[in-house]
Amino acid sequence: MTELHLALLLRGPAHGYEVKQAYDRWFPDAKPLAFGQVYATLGRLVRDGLAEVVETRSEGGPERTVYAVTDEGRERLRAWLAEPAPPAVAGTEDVVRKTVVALRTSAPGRAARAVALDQRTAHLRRMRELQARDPAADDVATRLAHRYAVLHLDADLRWLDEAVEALDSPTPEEPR
Amino acid sequence: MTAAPPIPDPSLELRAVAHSYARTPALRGVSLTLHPGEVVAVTGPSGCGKSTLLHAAAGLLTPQAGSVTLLGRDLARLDETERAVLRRREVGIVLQYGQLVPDLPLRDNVALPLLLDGGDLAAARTAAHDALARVGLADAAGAVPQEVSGGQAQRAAVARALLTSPRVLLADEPVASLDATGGRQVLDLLLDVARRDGGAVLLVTHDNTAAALADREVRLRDGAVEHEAVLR
Amino acid sequence: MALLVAVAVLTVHDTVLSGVTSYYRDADGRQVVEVGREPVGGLAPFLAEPGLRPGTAIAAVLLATPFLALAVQALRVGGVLEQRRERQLSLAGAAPADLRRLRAARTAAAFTRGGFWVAPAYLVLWVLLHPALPPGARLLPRLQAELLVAWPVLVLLLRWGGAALGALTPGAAHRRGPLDAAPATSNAPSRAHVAGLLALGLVLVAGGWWWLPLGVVPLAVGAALVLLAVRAATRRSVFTGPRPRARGGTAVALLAAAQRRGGLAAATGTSAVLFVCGLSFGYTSAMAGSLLFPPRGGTEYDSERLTFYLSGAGLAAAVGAVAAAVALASLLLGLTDHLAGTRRAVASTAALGTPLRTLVAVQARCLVRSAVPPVVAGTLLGGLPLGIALLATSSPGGLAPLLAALVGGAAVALACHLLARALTGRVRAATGLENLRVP
Repeated sequence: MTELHLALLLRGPAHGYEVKQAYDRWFPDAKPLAFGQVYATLGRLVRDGLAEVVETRSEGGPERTVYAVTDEGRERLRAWLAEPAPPAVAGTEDVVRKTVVALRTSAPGRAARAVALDQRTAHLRRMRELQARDPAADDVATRLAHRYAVLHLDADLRWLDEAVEALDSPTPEEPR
Repeated sequence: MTAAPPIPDPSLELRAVAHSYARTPALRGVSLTLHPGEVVAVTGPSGCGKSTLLHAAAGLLTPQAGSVTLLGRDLARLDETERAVLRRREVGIVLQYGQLVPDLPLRDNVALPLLLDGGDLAAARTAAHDALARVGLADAAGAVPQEVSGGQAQRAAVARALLTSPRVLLADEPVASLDATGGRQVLDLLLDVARRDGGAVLLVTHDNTAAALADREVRLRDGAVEHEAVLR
Repeated sequence: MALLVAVAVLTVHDTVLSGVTSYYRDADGRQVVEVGREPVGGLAPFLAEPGLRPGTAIAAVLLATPFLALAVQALRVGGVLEQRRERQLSLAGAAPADLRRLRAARTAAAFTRGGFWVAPAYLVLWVLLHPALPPGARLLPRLQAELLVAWPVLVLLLRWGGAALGALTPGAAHRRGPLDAAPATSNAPSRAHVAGLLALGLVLVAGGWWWLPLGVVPLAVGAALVLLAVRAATRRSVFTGPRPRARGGTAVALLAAAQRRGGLAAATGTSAVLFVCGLSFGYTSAMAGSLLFPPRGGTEYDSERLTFYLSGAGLAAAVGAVAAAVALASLLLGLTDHLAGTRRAVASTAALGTPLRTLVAVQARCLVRSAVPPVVAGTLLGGLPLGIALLATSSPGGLAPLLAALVGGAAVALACHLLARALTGRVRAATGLENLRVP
């Protein structure tokens, strides 16, 4: 999150609301950023010397603090980009949790398969929504963000297919 | 209180269709209904009977049990020629690849359904040219299938399937040999049959992103319907 | 090769060529047609008549050429599948030398089996042409003991020849790599080569024209050479043009034209053979015309002599017909090969809503368009010079070539339709649903 805020500030000095808006635009399929989190993160950036307060505006409304990224902040962002992201560790997503729980708590096969198939439908519906948008209307970055979401859903779906397949061939019961 | 809109007659109705190849069952009592304007994706692992279902729906094979009603006509009561005529006039078929006649220019390949119906060559070619232009292939109309890319050949096949404004479109893995962008272009063309022209589309695919474009998913497993869900 | 054989016939007065074919299937299920030749002593009276020797020679050429074409065609049959298989093998690591060895082994085995069949086939032919015919008209001599020795020798020779032929057949691996597509044009002939062929052909044609009654052999050979030169220069068939065009806008016409474009190489050779058959047919018909309606001032033949010459002409026509039939058979083989190679497209076309009889009609049209024009053109070219000369003396016999062209064309067209009908099973097999899945 730290680096994301730095990146958002890189476009020019901005106040907290602008940072949040930019974030939501960049990642349209992610959970919208909470205000509290934005201000907390910006405060931490200033404290660590990665960002600085350049202005306090009050255009007739509530007072707004404008933040800008420091040289140290730029350096930090460069270092972050240079470091590949750790490959995501599976097993913490709800899809996996539910399926594993269904598999371990229900009679072999049936209920677990129903869970997996219902999950499949939910995933397909979300995929349909994501794909219903006109790709020409979005800019490249937005389109790529969409595509990322679609492909991740596809990965989940393939895993679910394998889960259904595996449920067909019962394995020895795990020790409790 | 408003009256419910009348439910239109289904475009395609399979009832308890069963078929085996040399004792290996491919379909075991599959029922499926497809309404005008609807896109149904038939999915499932390979060997689950997807293609056999499509072939039965197209009247390319007569199932050993059950009935297939295509546009109100019981296929079992039609002879081979009548089924062929029904297919080329009312049904569009798109396969995975390699369905164009080699050494025949795309324009004539696309014009085939009209020509087979005894249509005038000039008129058929004009229609084919328009259809090719719709799929962005106006410049390649004179090329033979061997000279164009896989994606272009597939778009030409779609142009041919759409030439007669079919009321039913049957597609068997239409994008399996295409990349994501090319695949999406082809799928959008196919879906327009339902979205714009009110036809019915049966989309057999193992590609989740393609299946997610449908209104309904019918999932087959070992020749039977395992799961059916409305995605809309 | 056929020319060499013809020369041999001319020099060795009493040797005749027998084209013996045998059909069988090899291990791959490929239809293989094998040609065997055996020198045998003596022949019916035609060779004894010095003036008729050239005619008998051309009959031998005619008979041998299509058989040769058929053999080459047989080697090509299954070529599509064979090349695919070789490409897979070469992807799996087979070196070009390995593939060559495989090919040599395969053709050697096929030729050996063909060689074994030569003797029984010859026996059948002998029964048909010797004991079954009246003594004066027997076309084959009595069986001789040397044949028993000649047979195994022939088998061995065929085996070596087959191996050599197999090793020489260019395979898929001759390209740069296993995945490269077939080159559009292969080793283009040099200009000198083409010019030489053309010059030789023209000289032969001119010479043949000069001594017309006896000059049929050089005329035919010259015409063939000219055709060959034109084809080599343009890489096109003289009869089919650069791209066969559909005449008439029907689906059948378009599909047939496309199919002929796809099988151009095979069809071209066969068309040339049919053209030569037509030449002979035309010339024979004009001869028969001149015999039946002799020009004023010409020799009138007594009925015995007339019967002799007419039966000779009939024999020549029969030989031409057999040659044409064999050429058609090789055309048919080419078509079945093409069907096997494009079965996915055929199945898709059927799925599109094309009835089986339309697809069969496509095959018929394909055959007709490949076979009828060369036969008719050959008949007219072969018969008209003499025919015009006859007409100039107001002998109605000069019309014989026109009649022959009409009858020959119609007969070939009919044969094509019958052959296409015979192909129905193959076409139906090609429309099988399982073919929608083949690569």
